[in-house]
Amino acid sequence: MSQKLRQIMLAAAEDPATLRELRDDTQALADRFGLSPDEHDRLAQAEQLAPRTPGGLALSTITLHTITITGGFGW
Amino acid sequence: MRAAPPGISVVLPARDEGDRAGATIASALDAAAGPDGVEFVVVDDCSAPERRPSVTDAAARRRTTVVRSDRHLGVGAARNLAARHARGRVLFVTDAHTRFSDGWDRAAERLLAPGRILSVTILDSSSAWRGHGCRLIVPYMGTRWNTTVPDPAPHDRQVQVASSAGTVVERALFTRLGGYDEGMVHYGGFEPEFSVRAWRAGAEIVHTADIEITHRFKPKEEVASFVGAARTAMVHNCLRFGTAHLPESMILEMVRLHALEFPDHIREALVMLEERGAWRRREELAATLPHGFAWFVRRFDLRDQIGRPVPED
Repeated sequence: MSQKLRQIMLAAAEDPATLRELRDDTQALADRFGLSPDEHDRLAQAEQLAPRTPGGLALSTITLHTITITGGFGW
Repeated sequence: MRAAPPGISVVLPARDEGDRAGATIASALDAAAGPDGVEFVVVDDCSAPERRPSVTDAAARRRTTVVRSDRHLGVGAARNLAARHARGRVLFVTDAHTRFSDGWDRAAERLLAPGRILSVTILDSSSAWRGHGCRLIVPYMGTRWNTTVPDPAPHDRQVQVASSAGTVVERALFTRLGGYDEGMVHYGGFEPEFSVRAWRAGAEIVHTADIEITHRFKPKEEVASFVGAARTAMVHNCLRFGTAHLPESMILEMVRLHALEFPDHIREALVMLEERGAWRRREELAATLPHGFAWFVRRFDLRDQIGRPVPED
């Protein structure tokens, strides 16, 4: 699997069509790279993952040189 | 005769911090029960000339080493560089815009134990908010603060992630872990990756409310431009973190999530991911760490960010 993953990620870095499939047409990507139905289902569901707080802030805590950015706090 | 080495080295990355660095050091010295046992190592991370870290107090200057980098290292590499210049048995990792609670040094020495990393309580300098370590958000690879005090039972005081505004660790353990991941760039993701790697290496991260660090959070109006400039690095670091640790079945899901969220940054982040050897990093960690990520998942009953079980592989 890791070789296939790396191949897909490399292709997405180099080829806008692959990146577009990754974003908008996961079935085409799955067909082209031979992903199993389970692998495709997981990939397709990624858009359900909401990495944001109700306020719309990215969920990250990043201590920087001058700031810590937090989800929903500290901005 | 050479002076005895200090017990605690406070390590501070500083980029354009100016006199905030000196105020942080003054606070730490004022609040220490034994200031003679404390040194400070400040890495000036290529600050603009007028914003270089400034330590004006003579007593503080005697206890402070400033290491200047002419190249922008980023927060992880800057902390690692500071640690390499440190002489104390204990590293107190924080930022150059913090204030220390009374007796922080004695509490650190009392609470630290072999194989243990301390996560200290983080306070906001402009509100009543407190953070008690963080928890991991997968597969986004961000974190959320814990905002309640952990249960006093020892096992329940363990937290997934220590904030790098207040992480206390024996220098020998920090070195053995390899410090922060210098394959990451500039901003974002360093502290959760370090924490997950520490857990996988067999260390524990224990939260304490006995040490409080009051932190200057960047005002809201400054954040957008700052994060905008750092976004590609942040996406890359999240992807590198996930590639190094996540089960394979979640990696592509993570990449798609970031592609959907950050379409203007994903391609460059993927290029950097390959150039900086993320897959090699995954293999190295798998070969050297005693625990897999699945162990971490079981230890904390970790779920993904919409509550689904995290797959084993």
